[in-house]
Amino acid sequence: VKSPALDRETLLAEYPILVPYRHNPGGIVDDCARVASLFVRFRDEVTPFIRPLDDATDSERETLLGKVLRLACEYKIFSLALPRSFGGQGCSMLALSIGLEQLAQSCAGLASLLGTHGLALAIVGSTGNVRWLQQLAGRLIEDERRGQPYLLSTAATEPSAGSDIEDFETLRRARIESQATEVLGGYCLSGTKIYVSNGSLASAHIVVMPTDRTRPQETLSAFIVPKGQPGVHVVRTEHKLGQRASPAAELRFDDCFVPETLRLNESTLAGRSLDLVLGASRSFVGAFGAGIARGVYETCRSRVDASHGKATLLAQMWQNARTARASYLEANIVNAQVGLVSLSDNGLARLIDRLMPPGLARSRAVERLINLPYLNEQARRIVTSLSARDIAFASSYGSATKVETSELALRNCELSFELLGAKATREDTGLPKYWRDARLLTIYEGTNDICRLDVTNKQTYLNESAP
Amino acid sequence: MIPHEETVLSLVQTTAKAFALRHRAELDTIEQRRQRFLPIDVLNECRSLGWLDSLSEETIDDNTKNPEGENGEAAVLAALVFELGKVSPTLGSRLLCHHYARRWLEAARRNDNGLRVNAPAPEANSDWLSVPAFDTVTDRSTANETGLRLDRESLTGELTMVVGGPESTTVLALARHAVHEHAFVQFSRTLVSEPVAVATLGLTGLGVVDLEMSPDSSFSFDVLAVGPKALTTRNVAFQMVLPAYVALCRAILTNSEQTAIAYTNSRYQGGGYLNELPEIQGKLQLIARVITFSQLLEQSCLRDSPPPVHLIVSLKQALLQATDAGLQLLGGAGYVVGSGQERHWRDARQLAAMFGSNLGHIGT
Repeated sequence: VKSPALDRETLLAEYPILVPYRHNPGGIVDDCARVASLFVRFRDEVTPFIRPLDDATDSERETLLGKVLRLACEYKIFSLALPRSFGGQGCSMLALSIGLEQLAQSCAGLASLLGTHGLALAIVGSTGNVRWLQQLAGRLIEDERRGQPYLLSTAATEPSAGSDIEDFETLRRARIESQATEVLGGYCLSGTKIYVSNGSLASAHIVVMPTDRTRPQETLSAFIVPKGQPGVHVVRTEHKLGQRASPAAELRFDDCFVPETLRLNESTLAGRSLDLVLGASRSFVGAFGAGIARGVYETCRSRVDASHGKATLLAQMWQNARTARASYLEANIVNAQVGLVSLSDNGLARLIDRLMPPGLARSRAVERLINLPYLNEQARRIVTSLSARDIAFASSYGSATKVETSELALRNCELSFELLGAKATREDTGLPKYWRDARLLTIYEGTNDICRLDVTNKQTYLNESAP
Repeated sequence: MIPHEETVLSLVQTTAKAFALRHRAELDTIEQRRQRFLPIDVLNECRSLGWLDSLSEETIDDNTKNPEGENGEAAVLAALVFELGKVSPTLGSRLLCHHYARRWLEAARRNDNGLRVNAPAPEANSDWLSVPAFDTVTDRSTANETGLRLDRESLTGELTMVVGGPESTTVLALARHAVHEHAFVQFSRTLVSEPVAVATLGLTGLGVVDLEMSPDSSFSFDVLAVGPKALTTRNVAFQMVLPAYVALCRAILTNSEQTAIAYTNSRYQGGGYLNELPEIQGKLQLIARVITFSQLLEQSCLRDSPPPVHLIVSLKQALLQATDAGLQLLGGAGYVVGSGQERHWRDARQLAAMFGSNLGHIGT
């Protein structure tokens, strides 16, 4: 069944927060409408794969995901948010988040798979490493044209440190066992990373490791490690409760050598950079939560008649879906103004677009330009020009929306059970899948407890540092 | 509790423990392979142990029963379901459903106020199977009052969520909605096509039966009780299995607590062991509180008259919250299948769906 088209007017009715921008021709509303309708068409196309993806064995899943990712390439989803100068489509992150919400209404796992890829790119962006951004963008666009996506993953969580690595304060006390030891010409990576989303599928991993594990706050670094690099092993793929379309793997690094050029950052990734990345990525997780909340509501609406008691529950579900949507849109707007997204939507992308006219992205002249220390310095200056208060502000909104939307999604799942009774536990309704998928939202990208801690810390900092 | 009853219960617990441990690997396989039915030999052994028949007559002396005469059987069933449920919530649940159906059928038969309905073959492509003639209806006024009407959609929809399986001693359909909102129907065995298990969120292997009627043949069914009488008989059955239901909730909670404690005792994070962190302690306390609540509720069900409905609603909500906390405090390990915690989370949700949603309870 084809979903109704999500044109400009429908979008404004569904997302009234965009109404103030409706008279801006070719602006944010058109961008969002274009991306959202693209994702709705993509969603319709992948719908037949969703149930099989959930039930499949590991090998079957890999085959099915291959087909889904080829479809994503046909829809040019991987190049959507890349700057135009790099050959991308330059869509805003707000539009992308709306698109992912639409996809999550059917399958949060697939949205998570694409979101994880975006997270890896965000880490590269947060370091201001234009040279690598350009190289990755080139590779992404080239492989997208060939129908073989160059998928990225992020390896951060450790068996003995869990979410500790995601918060500056807990990082100090974290029991980190991995280390990237400096050797002649590069680094030697050792240790284990767990729950690496896309880990078994990715063409390259962004690996977060300290160069001195006794001082993780000062030496946390990010490395690009291509798939198949000697010393990298996929130990196993986890059997997950939900979001099975996004496989999580355990990766082991046995003295894996990476050259100096594959290190993304100059100063530590902890603190500023991680806050920037997590502020943005958690806002996107918010979109997944809103998608699930909406999907559950729509499923229930089509299955029950709104008699007296049920009408109240349906209304509650609609309110939850609406609140979740408003929450993640607000967080994304905050991030577009003062967070990491401001770099791609305004600062860094604008700088790149100014220096490199579209169409020259793959020329040798541009490559030479990218390698100029001046451009990289300028990019890093833009990253460091973001004030600590702005970063804290954006980060707290990202964390808060992640907690809020994941809990609202779960709440809607519980209400679906109230509405449909035992039927809501039957797989053929699709509701158990929503429930399982929603349950993961409260855990990954920093558990909700860590996110709450982040909100409190950042809000305390904002109050104490108020001018 | 008098000493004799205590001995009997202790014996039941020991037997159930031994049985569960003996079949543990077999029962775990059901979950791992997502199989649809419990192994027939496990159920046959349950039958040979007498667990599918009345649990009161042979095992508990009549003198130990309370004036309502239900407590002896309820206590045995609760003890049995708890011990089996700790190893396999599916088996515990299966036993509970079986006794619920058996008890309801017995109570309805005792009332002997039902009616028999013969229905012609339904029209092809008809969404509704109406019963055009009530020739054999003994109590016309009741039939008219209740407006006997068979909803085919309900038959395949509502009945699927009931109970049973191919190995049930009696094929029962607790079809509250099949004929009317409050009617209890017994279908003849020929009516039931090959049962189709329906995949569900949790309690894998429960073997929920999807009763499908053959649309091109006529059929007959017995309405054993209609309207308030059906409700009364259902309540008798419900009260009998209520302690077992609470015990099954407790079994899942106990498992969840044990997994959580084992993990938090051994896991170093945030500058110390997880069990030292106040947030983690809060979640562990929540699970412990709900276990205590379920214990008290179970005792209350066995000792006194059935508890008010809001306590059942509270238990269901607390069960969902506690298993949620159990999963959350394991972090990433919580959503990995091997940890076991995700299974407790799913089973708890399936269990909470039994005997109606909270909305239904609040309605009563």
